[in-house]
Amino acid sequence: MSAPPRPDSSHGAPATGEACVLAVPKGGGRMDAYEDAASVRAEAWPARLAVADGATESAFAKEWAERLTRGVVEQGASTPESLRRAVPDWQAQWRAAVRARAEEGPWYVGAKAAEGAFATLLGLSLRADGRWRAVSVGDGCLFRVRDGAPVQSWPFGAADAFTNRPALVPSRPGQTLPTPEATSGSWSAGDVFVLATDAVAAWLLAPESSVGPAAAAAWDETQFRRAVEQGRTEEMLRNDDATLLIMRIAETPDAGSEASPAPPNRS
Amino acid sequence: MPYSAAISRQQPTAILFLLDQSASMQEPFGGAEKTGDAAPSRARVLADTVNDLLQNLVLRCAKEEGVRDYFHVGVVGYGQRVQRLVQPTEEYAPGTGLVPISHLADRPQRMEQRVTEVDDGEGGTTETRVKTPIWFDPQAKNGTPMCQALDLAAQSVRDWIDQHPHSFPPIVLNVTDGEATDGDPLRYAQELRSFATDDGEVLLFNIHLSASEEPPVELPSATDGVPNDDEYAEVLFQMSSRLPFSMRSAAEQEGYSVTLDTRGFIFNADPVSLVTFLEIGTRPSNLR
Repeated sequence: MSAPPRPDSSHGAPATGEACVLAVPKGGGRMDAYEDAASVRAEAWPARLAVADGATESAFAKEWAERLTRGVVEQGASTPESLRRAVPDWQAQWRAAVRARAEEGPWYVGAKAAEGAFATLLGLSLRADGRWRAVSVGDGCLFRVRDGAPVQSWPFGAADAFTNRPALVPSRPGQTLPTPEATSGSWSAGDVFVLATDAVAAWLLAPESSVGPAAAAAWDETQFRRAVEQGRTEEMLRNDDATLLIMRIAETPDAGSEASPAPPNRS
Repeated sequence: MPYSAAISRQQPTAILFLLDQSASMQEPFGGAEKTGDAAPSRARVLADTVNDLLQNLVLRCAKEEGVRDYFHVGVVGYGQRVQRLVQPTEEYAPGTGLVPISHLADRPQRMEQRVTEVDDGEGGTTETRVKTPIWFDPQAKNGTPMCQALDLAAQSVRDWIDQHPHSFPPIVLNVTDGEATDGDPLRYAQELRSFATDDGEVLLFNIHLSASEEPPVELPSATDGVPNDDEYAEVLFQMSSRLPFSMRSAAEQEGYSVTLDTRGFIFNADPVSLVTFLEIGTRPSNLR
């Protein structure tokens, strides 16, 4: 098997910290069936990160998950209000992107496109002054780790909180956007933020699991892949797309001006 | 735990419909106003319902790159004769009569244009024409050779299980408006249900279509739930499997109260309960 193409990410630009995307597809192999997405902008403040999980039963779900994470990172939509304002444009962009394939394909491709795609979405924005905020629809999970110990798990704190029916962002304009959840806080130098899609998050939170958020915060790609394989073999980790977006902050909070200021309501 | 096998392309499940095509299916449902063409025949309602359901099954498996073979599907009609209403293509003949759903998706008998209402994106609706696949048309002639149909189903699922011994077991949905005219269907039903994969025995559900104005008896848990003056209702109850966990959950979401003994059986079904139960009965565990 060739190395999987990497999800949308920026590497080696340590202005804010070090960010990496770790991804293993479901099933044990093929990246073309991978329907999670992750995007990150770490080269300047405010740093922005997002992960999404496209719903398997919808078509063009990968495109929708990618549209959502890119949107959060490009537009800084990290509050419920900014997310609500941004989603209609993203829906129009998704529709335009899949239209030709939907019209040219067999009857079921057009019918699936008309049903729309669905995805969970978790977005995070970190400002230079030490503040951060996050927004979520569905069952993605954010962990904050400091000095090798987990200090926060949001919006879920236990593995049994995950169900098979998460809230989902719809790509079809007529459907209601579930009410996004939101939180905010302060970061310190050395903090590590870990964004996880549902299967990995539930695994990291399970009390009987041999791994947890603190271990995950230190993983590289090889370590993640090994841990995922072991977790699946031990049936601790559900066979689903597995995605982590890890941000290790290098700087200390700066009370002064930001390197790349954003309008007040958009970061 | 039985009936928990994940359904994947490597480990699909099978869904087989047995549809009564006897002469009495020309009549409308009991209670329907008999105003000439306004009340469609039971055969028409059943054909439309199953064609719609096949379309929904395809869409559950469809992705942008094609249809994933989570299901193998068969449709058998019984009336003038016992016949397969969907056929595998020559290049793909697994010998079981159960067709991978991607082949079904690519080969409807025809596409019909239908007008349907869709969201206009601005809070309202607009009419649009959509292409709708049709796999088979209604028929209604002669008697009710249900035993032959159950026997053909048994041959299909036995051969299919040989090829898929670890799968969620086949689901057989029998829809009829009358008594079998070719023997004792309970014996054939027991034979059919005796075949099993590692994950459980074949599931047989029965839906009796109403010729009377009596209200439907839906998902009974004991024979005292079915009309006690009707031996035939009790036979159909005995023929029916208990609902596995995933379908009990689906039934609860539809507002039914269920127990561990709830049977996949509807007596005196009207069109609404027919659609609702076919939806419940084709919800095995999660697709992967």
